[in-house]
Amino acid sequence: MQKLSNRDVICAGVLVVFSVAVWIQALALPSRAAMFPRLVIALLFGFSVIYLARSVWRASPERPAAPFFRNAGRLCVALMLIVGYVLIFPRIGFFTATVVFIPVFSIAIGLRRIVAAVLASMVFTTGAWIVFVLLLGRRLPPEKILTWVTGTVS
Amino acid sequence: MIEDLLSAAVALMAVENVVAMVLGTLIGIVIGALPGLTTTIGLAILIPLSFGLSPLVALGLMAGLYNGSMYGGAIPAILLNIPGTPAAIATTFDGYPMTQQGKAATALRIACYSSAVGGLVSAFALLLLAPPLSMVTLAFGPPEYFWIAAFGLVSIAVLIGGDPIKGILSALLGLLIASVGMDTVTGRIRFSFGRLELVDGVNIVVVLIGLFALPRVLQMAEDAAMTGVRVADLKIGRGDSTPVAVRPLIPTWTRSSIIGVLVGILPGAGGNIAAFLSYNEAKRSDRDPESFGRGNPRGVAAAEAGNSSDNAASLIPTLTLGVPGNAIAALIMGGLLVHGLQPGPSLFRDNSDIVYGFVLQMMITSVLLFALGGMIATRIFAQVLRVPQVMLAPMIVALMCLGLFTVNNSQFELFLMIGFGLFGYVLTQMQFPLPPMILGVILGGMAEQNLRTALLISRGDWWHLLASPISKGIAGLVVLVLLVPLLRMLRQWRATARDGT
Repeated sequence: MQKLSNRDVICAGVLVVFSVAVWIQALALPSRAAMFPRLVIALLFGFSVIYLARSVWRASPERPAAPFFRNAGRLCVALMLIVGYVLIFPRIGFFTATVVFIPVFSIAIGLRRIVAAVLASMVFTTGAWIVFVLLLGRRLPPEKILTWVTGTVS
Repeated sequence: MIEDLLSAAVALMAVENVVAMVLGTLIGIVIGALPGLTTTIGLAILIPLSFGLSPLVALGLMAGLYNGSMYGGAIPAILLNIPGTPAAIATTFDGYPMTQQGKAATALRIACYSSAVGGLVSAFALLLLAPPLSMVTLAFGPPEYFWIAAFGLVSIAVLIGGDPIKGILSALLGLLIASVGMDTVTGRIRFSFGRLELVDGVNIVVVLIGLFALPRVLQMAEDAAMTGVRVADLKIGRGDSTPVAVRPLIPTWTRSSIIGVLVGILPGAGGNIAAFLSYNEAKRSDRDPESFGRGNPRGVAAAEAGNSSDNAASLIPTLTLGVPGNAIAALIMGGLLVHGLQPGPSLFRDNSDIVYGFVLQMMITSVLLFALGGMIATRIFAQVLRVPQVMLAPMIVALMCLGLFTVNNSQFELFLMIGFGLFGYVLTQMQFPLPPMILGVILGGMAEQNLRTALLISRGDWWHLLASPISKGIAGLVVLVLLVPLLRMLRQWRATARDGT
């Protein structure tokens, strides 16, 4: 049996509030369409309450041995970079975005071998581009840089 | 069946299918060899990448990846005492001591042969057991299917992970995700929050990648392992070229393969359980049990044959009932769905060429391990371990985004994937098991549709769900599985009371 902590109390509380919120959402649905979701939400609420009660009853006042975030700073940087990549890759093209993203990500979270990161990025991106575009015939977003340089859509 | 097998075998001879199996096996070995990357992450990334390929080519890649990664996990387990996958933990017990004795090459060869034998036996079990079982399930109606879905969900939720309540909550959240989108009976849109992209529901690929791949990437970023493994640590003895004595290993392979197949069929169990049980049985039945843990080749053979013979066998309930028994089977089921194949009894009736082709691919990719998992390949794959995880993490992100974006050209799905990734990260940190959630997403539609059809037939009479003896039997199994945690608690209380007195 897992050891429970105050985190579990918070998590269970969030689940209880979430199931109530979704139940309110489901009230707007006609009864036939809502039957199954309501059944699931009712069970979710019931088990969340059990989880909450059990967490309150058994939660240890001591701090859990393992921290929730192993390194919150690096996690935030990684997340921001992933969101940034998802934002720009459909706009500027896969090749350009990825060639920049891989070394920037690696260096931002601590890699100091910049040349190796850039080279690995070039090799990986070229390989992925060859597999997807040349071998699998997938359509990727047009490369903005090529469009600017050549005046045609790549 | 013979005709179907023959026509599937002919289809598999096409160049693209052969390339897919070889490539899938190689990728699988590499993924298995990289500590931190597992079969589930590999499959989650592969599924969107395989979109647009013919189903047999895509399934060939998946079969290769599955079998290859099970063996690949043995490479770091033997060379570095680090299991590449959870299923390779038992391989470290005797594999690493063999490396310390300068017998790494022999250990790697034994692991390779054992994985191949286990995979082959498992694929034969799939071939022999799945078709008759699928014939039986043709007699099932909506109530039976509802209970089958419930049994699949409850067993995974209760038996995976250490906390049944968290498992059940995870499965319920999955069911809730499955109810997003248009209700097929009334045409009403549910929980779409005004987003047109959610009218057809949440794309299963988005959930798979988000929950299984992104949390691992975020953890890699947090750990920020700057260097890979040093070449000097990869001790593969140059002079160790003694051929492996196969005959003494045959009893171990036989026993472990049977254990692996039986464990594979059971819901909630996985390759790691099969490997541990096989290892324990090999040790128990050996004339010299004391030599286990000190570099006994039969220990490596038992663990590897055990974990690989779980592979295809775990797909028996997936292909016949449409109910995956573990996370890998759930991902393969997701892969089948992405390619328009509905697992269940109709799969063998309507797509026999593809399903028999897949079974043959599971066999062929096991045999491929003999050729691809040999010493030269192992030396090359061992070098993959040198790639620093900080470089691997953004490459995985790029592959995930590329694969997902080229399915629907939707940026919204990329953001949804990040959302599921964060959700998966939080749940992982809170020690919620993720496979029940995936199962909930996959089985939600099946459970709802069959429940509603059963109630429609019976004009709202809920007792109709328990009308047939089969329904009663499966419902009984659901209750039995739910009793497991209660019995565990009872045993714990008794133990605590005994210790207190």
